Parts: sequence; structure tokens; C-alpha cells
Amino acid sequence: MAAGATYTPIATQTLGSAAATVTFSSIPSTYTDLVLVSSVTNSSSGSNYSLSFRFNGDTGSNYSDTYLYGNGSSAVSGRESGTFVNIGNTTSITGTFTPTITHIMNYANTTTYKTVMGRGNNSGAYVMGAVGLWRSTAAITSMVIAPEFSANNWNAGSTFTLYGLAAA
Amino acid sequence: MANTYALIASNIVGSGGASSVTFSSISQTYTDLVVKVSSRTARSTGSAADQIAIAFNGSNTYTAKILNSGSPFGTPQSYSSSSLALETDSANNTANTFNSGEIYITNYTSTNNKSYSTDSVAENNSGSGDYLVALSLMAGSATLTSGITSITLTSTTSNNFVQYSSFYLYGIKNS
Repeated sequence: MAAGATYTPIATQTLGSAAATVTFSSIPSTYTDLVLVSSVTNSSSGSNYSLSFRFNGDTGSNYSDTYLYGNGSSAVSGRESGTFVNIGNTTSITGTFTPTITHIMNYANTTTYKTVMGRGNNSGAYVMGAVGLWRSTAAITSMVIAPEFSANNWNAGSTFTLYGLAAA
Repeated sequence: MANTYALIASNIVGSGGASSVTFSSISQTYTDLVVKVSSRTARSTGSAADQIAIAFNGSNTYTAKILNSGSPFGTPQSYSSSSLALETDSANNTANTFNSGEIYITNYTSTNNKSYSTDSVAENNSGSGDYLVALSLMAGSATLTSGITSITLTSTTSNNFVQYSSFYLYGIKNS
């Protein structure tokens, strides 16, 4: 197999205008894992929002996450549950985009709940590692990504690329 | 199939050691850059490991937040920094022990400031020597609105990278 053939871009979105959510749909089940690489800013007035995920349109209370972050003065860990998974933390600083790398393992299986692991890198606020769980055995075929499903948007220029990793 | 995770360049340090490692004339044809590091420095003074300073286009001033395992370890800590560094093993660490580190830079050709993350560990095969082990996560941003064309890695204590230290630069394309 050619080098790099297992790190395949499935889809990429670059926002030409602000958007409340970004959706990847019809995700093929032919890979082993997914990796989402995002570079974003949010539209709030100086607030930081997580990169939040919902899968397959599920808006129920079927999500939880555990996180560890540093804010420049202290290290904090905690956990939460609710209607979406939070991974990382994003800034609203103009011109400084927050990179977040999120791994979704074994996303196509129909036996186990789905786990998510990510690194968020908001240099103005938080450096964060987080893991999340979607309590569903369904294969992931779509995902919606929003700034905590709040009233805020992703700003224009934000980018999202979904890669597929194949084990063989 | 597109080669979307491509090796751009590598540098494996030879028997004489190296005071720095530079990737220059970096192609602007990728979306993201990743640097994979396995390193050890010649630092032998004191009783600590070492760190690697990173410069983009010759500049090494940043805004950064760091989360690490703390020194002494067992007490995680966070702090802000104006320089970007990876943890690395040194000659003070167990023989033949090298660090593992990664630098991920998104949208490195854009006209926006450059944001990136680093993950790194330095390990030591001993229960003693708190300052010989470290786990570090970093979020950084460089005030740099031109594309990144060079990356230089140096020991923050001005010690050489020892033989077999390895550095690989990859380019990732989103299409």
C-alpha cells in the first residue's frame, strides 16, 4: 500500500460565512477509525467554548466526557454528562484559530458504545485533553459539531477535515 | 490514492551529535504539518532532563499554555509561557532512553497566526530523580502571518542532540 493511503481525507469544510453547526454526513463505514482535524474560532464576545459533538442526530442525554486541562495557573480535571460530548476548547480571538484533533475509534462497529479522544489547544485559555463516550452501539454515519450547541457560531475561515484511518 | 500523510524530510543525528535540527524550504503544498521527535540531549550537568525549543521561520516567541506532570511529579501543574518547548531526555536519564514528542501545526500556510499543539514525554528507568521525567501537553500560538517555511529545534540548555535522535517532518493534505 502506498505511504499515506490509510490517512484518507473523507471530507473537508472551510466556512465561507459563520455557521452554528458543521455536519459530516454519509460517513462511509469502510475505515477503522476517524480523525477530525479542526481549526476554528467562535463568534462569542470573548468566551471560550468547547468543540461539541453529536452523532447520528441523537439529541438525547446519551453522552459524557472526562477532561484534564491547564489554564496557565492550575491543572483541573472533571467529568460531565449531557446531550453532547465536549472535546477541547475554542477561542474567539480574531486571527488566532484553535486547533483540535479528535480521534473516534472503531466508529463503524455495531456492538460497542463509541469512544472519542481529543486534544484541544486554545493558547489564550486552555490546553486540554479529553475523552468522551456516546452510549450507542450504532455505527457512526454522521456527526454535528457546534460550539457547545449554544447561540454562538463558528466564524468564517474555520476549517474541519475528517480523515479515515484503515487498519488494513 | 492521494498521498495525504507524506514524509517531507527526516534528520537522524549522526555520531558527532547536532547542536540543532532545521527543516528548511518547507513546501507550501500541504494543509498541516506534523513533526515526530525521538530525542536525547548531551546535558549532563545537574540532575534534570532537558527541553527542546522550537523556532518557526527563525522566531521562537509564542503565547502558550502548558499542562504537565509537574516537578516533582505527582502534582500536575499548568503555566503560561512565551516559548515553546518539548520535553526530552538528556544524558542524565537512563542510558538509551529517548523522548517521544509530536508537534502538530494546522493550516501552516495561512495568513492567520499559527496555532499548534505539542505532546511530549521524557522517561527515566528509576524511581528517583523527579526532574528526569515529564509529560507535557502544550497549546501554542505564534504571531506569524506568513507561511511556515522553516522549523528549527534546539536544546534549551544549548546541549547537542546525541546520536540516534530522530526528527521526521510530515505533510498532511485535506484533499
